[in-house]
Amino acid sequence: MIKIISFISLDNIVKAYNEKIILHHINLEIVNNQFISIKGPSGVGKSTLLNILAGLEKADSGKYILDCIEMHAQNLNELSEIRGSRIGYISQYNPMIRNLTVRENIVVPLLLGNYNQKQITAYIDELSACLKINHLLDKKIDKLSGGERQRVGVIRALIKKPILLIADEPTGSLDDDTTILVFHLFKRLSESGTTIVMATHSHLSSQYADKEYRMSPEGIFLNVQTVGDM
Amino acid sequence: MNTARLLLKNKKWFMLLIGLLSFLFSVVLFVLLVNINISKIEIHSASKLHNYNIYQITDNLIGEREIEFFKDVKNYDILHDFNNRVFENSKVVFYNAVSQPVGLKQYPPDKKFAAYYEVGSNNDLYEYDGEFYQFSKSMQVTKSVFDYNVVELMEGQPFDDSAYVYIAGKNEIPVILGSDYRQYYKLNDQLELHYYYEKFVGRVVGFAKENSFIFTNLEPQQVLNRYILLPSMSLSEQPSKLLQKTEVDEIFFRALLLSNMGGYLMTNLNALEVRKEVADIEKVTNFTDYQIIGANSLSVNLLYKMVDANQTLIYTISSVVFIFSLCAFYLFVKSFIKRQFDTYLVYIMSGVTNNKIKKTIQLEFSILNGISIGLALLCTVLFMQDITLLSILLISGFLVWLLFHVVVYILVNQLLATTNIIEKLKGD
Ligand SMILES: Nc1ncnc2c1ncn2[C@@H]1O[C@H](COP(=O)(O)OP(=O)(O)OP(=O)(O)O)[C@@H](O)[C@H]1O
Ligand SMILES: [Mg+2]
Repeated sequence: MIKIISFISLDNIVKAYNEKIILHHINLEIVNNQFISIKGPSGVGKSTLLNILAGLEKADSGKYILDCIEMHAQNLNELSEIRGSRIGYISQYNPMIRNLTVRENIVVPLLLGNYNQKQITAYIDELSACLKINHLLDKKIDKLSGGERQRVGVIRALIKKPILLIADEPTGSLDDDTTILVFHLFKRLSESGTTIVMATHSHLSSQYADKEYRMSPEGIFLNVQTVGDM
Repeated sequence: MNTARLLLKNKKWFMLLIGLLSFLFSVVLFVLLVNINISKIEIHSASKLHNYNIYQITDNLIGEREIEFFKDVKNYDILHDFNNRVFENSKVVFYNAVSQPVGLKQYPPDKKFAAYYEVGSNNDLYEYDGEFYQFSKSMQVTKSVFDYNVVELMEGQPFDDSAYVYIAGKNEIPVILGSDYRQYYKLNDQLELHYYYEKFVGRVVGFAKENSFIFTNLEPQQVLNRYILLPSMSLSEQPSKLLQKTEVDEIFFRALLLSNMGGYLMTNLNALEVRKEVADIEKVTNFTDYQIIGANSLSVNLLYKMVDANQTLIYTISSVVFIFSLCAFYLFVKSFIKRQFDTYLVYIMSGVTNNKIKKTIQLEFSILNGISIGLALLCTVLFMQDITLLSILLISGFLVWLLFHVVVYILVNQLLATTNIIEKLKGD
């Protein structure tokens, strides 16, 4: 039997806050170029799991390997560096820098390194057209609605063309039509080389995700329905 | 896009406000410190002798004011009272060595004794009451002059205490002559003097050793060889009474009183204390037309006013402002960091470490506070026109900087704790 080398491998991940265990022995294998969605009741630990994947926090125990890097063995500083170079992260909270325009907010991740102005402008235009906020690019971020801001957050996470996109409820404030735009974009990106792990409550995700997992206090399980679809 | 500009865009006013606050805080602290350190102030304009601080006291009775002042006989008594109290004050030594030409009838032929010989004047001879006098070099000295200078006599006796007192009807004054007079006069010779518009007999009681010198208001080392030393006389009783008792013209008393008032105050007191001491005398005697040079620089004036106003009030206000500023600084920085919190989250999401953000914030505030405190220091020093407290101010400035640094450090670590950030990112 051929052993598939996973892009992401979680082995017995445990995470507790103040002695309250949130993640019990999570095991998960994700191959690359996939669009994964995770569902589950509020408070079950989806965001916690995604934060661990994004290297924002560390599991109490267990192994996490990303693209052959032993993430569990890195400290938070090293994890930040890895996040900066390879991981796009969409936060459930979706922070923005006020007083800046949409465009300025989008390029913040790039300020940490050098980037090609022309190429980037084209890419921003492409992504924002795709999510239908291209007419808002030069507006102040404070003037945008929650849904518009959420799409800015999506574009910001993609601007560095990460190999892994962690998306924590990226469509929470979006209507179904707009949600579909985002999922559609994710689908396309995953096909062209970005692995996407998304937590969502949206009922539309199953139509776009390659795999859908269900999280419960007992653990994380592949959603049989989706498996059936495949 | 310029990173710095982009980031500054978000916070320049806040930064300015915080900078201003730490500036004000420092200024208040510095003023407080200067206040506390008053006792240590040594004013650079005051020279030193035998570890004493030396201040000059002079009258402000110039021209019209003098005429106006002496119109009232009561004022003679007031000035007399003032002089006496300054003279008798145990905390200050009154020192006066004033060069005051005196008319000498039996003047020696050698012109070098003439008062204005060195400046080439030929008008030293004058006629009074049908007789010729020569303005001769003379020094009017207080007893303290002999205490603070080494004036040895080659012959005779120093002035005894009674020499320094003018009593009604007195017309003999003991004189000590400079060594150059020795070839013309001998002990107990009687010189006819014309002194402050009155005729006196100067009895030679001694000769100073050659090259004896004293310090005067004009010269740090005035050689006495060509001088006639006269005792600086205080009045035995109130001038108003003396005026009634004697034929002596009031102009004599006026001159005597004024020459007794101007001179040096040698003391261990600092500038502020000496002002206070004399101000107390001023209050009792009602004589206000004087100033103390060396104790009236801008800083001393300012401090004197503050102390005079009410020291405890100053301390209270300063402490309140101090505590208020510290609290305000704490709250400002706290609200600044909270305001910027989302910005920090964006950076963290983009791969900046939490530690780096904390360090950057601390660095920003260190620089900001450094500049503000530095400016405050500069302003304080410039305003005080005094660098004697510079080292204390520098140290305290550094301590303020450190204090603010600690405040920022605590806030940064409190507000930007990793758990706070993580929790926030998971949704509000
Ligand atoms: N930093 C933290 N400190 C303490 N408790 C935490 C922390 N982060 C998460 N928790 C707790 O862990 C549990 C899981 O939180 P998490 O945000 O991962 O859930 P979730 O599945 O993303 O929920 P939702 O669907 O509402 O976003 C919650 O009970 C939460 O209160
Ligand atoms: Mg969540």
